[in-house]
Amino acid sequence: MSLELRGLSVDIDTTRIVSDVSFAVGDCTFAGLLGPNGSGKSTILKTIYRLLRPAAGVVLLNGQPIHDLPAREVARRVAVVSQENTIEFDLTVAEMVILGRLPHKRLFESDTDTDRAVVADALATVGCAALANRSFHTLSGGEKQRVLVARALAQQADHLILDEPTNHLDIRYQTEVLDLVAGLGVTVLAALHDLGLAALYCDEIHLLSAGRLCTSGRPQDVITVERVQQVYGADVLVIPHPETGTPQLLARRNPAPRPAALDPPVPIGERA
Amino acid sequence: MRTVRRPANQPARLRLSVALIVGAVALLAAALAGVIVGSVAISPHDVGSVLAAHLFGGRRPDVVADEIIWQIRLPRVLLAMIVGAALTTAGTVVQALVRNALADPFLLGVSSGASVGATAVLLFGVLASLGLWALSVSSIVGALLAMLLVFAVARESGQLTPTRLVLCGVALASMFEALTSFLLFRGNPQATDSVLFWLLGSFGRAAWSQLWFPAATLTLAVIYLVFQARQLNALAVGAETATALGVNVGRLRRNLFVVTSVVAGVAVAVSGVIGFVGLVVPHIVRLGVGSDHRKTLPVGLLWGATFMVLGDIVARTIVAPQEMPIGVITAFIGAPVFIFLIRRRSYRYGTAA
Repeated sequence: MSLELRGLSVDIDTTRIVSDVSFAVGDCTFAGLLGPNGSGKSTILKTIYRLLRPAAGVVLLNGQPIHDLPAREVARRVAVVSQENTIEFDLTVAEMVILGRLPHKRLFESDTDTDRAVVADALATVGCAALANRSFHTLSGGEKQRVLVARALAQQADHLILDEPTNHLDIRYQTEVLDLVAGLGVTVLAALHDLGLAALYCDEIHLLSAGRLCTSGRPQDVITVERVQQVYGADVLVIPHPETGTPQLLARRNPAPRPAALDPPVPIGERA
Repeated sequence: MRTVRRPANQPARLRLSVALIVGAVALLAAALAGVIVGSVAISPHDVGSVLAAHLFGGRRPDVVADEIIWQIRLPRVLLAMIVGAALTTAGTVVQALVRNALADPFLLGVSSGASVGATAVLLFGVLASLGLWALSVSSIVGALLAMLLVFAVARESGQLTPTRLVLCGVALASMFEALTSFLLFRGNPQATDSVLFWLLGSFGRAAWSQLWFPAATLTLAVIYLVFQARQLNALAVGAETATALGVNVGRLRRNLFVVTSVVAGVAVAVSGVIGFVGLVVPHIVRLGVGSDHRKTLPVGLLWGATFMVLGDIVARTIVAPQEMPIGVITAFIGAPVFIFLIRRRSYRYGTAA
């Protein structure tokens, strides 16, 4: 349990966004942080990667308060893929990924063959080796996200923080990015929007509601009809995934359509 | 319309060594031209012997030529180099700091603050006890005060945020400009000419004794910035990314703000307000070598210096024997170049993709 939150509360401009959240992420597990918009997912992640400071409680990395550790040391152990991926400057993919070596570099130390090898490896791992000399901003959304994962890999950290990594991606890229992350063998904490995808990939899920931890557990224990109703205020059906048995959500129409709606549609001209 | 068929997503870039060599050769050629060209015709041979006499010892060929070359033209060329390099460096950093293509070192209020200080000296004899140093001191003080004001106003719960920095800089700059205009309005009509000339920029006051200070501040700043180049890259990508990579973003922004303000403030103090160099040259450099600050900073020094020396040659010769203010020249060249760059396909920060 090298990453642990204990009684974490976070304020933004005197407003309490996160209250008394405690959970630990098992080593080499894929943990999902779920909750409706504004429930504090991003705030918790930002506090872990030290963009925000806790108002109370601590984030522990190997038992040490993460905010007391030197920034570079934390960056060597915790890599982040944030939602920030619109860059104004024209960097190539290779230049973007080699930024991940920053916490490993001393002042004025130039890039070594090791750095370049790490970058090439990282790009190969995410399947973007061919893109090394492309401009980052000419990439598709899925390619960008994979390159950002490569930058995190180049940090050679054993913890990976992902803030909505599948946001704005087509279904193909969503699964591609999550397959990639799940296969890395590092400790992952990811804020996710899609409950079904989260259930499919996460070993454990921490569900937030209005800044508080609602429950933690295995996906099948956390994602239930009652809980989704309670936390998201949404009326859904939960069915097991045919291949994995993990819970999948089905949205419901309100008011429920008559079963006759399943009949073949009537051409417009023939309607009464 | 004819389009250039390079793969749109592969930026065409110069190698760093090529960019540096091109810059060094161009700078040397521009500097030589700057020493040779002038209202008094002096043959390149005489220029050569004056320079050789000073650099390697030996007999000076001609007192008048010596005076013109060594005491007037050479310090002037060197000052233009220093100021060009300084404004380009400051521009490069400010653009990364606020992540905005239209950012310019003068955005931080330094030029308008310095103008107020200089105007007060030129029109009302403020700080007259400092003699020749009064203008430099007052404009540096004006620049620093303006910068501190922008800094204080732009801070948001102890943090500098790019948007607020831009907005506060623009607002305060126009306030200082109004103050300068007010001083001009209240001042002695004869003295306003010299103020206007100063406001538009000139290297006419260049002297050996004036070079060391801007050279020293620029050197210190560049050393600091080169050490921070990697952090600067991270900051240019975004504050969150930089934080996640272990960069202390708050401290870095503060330091960059101070360093660029001082560099630009000193440049303004010695040469007046020379617009567009800090805005345009960084973009030209990025088009050449990309946006990695480990490349843009050193290349920018050479290219910025060259640009300014060439601009000064034009300023001295275009209406000879009179002198055009250099700010007029840089804006005249800079604005169309900038517009050309922007209109050229979908330009964004050093891309011609």
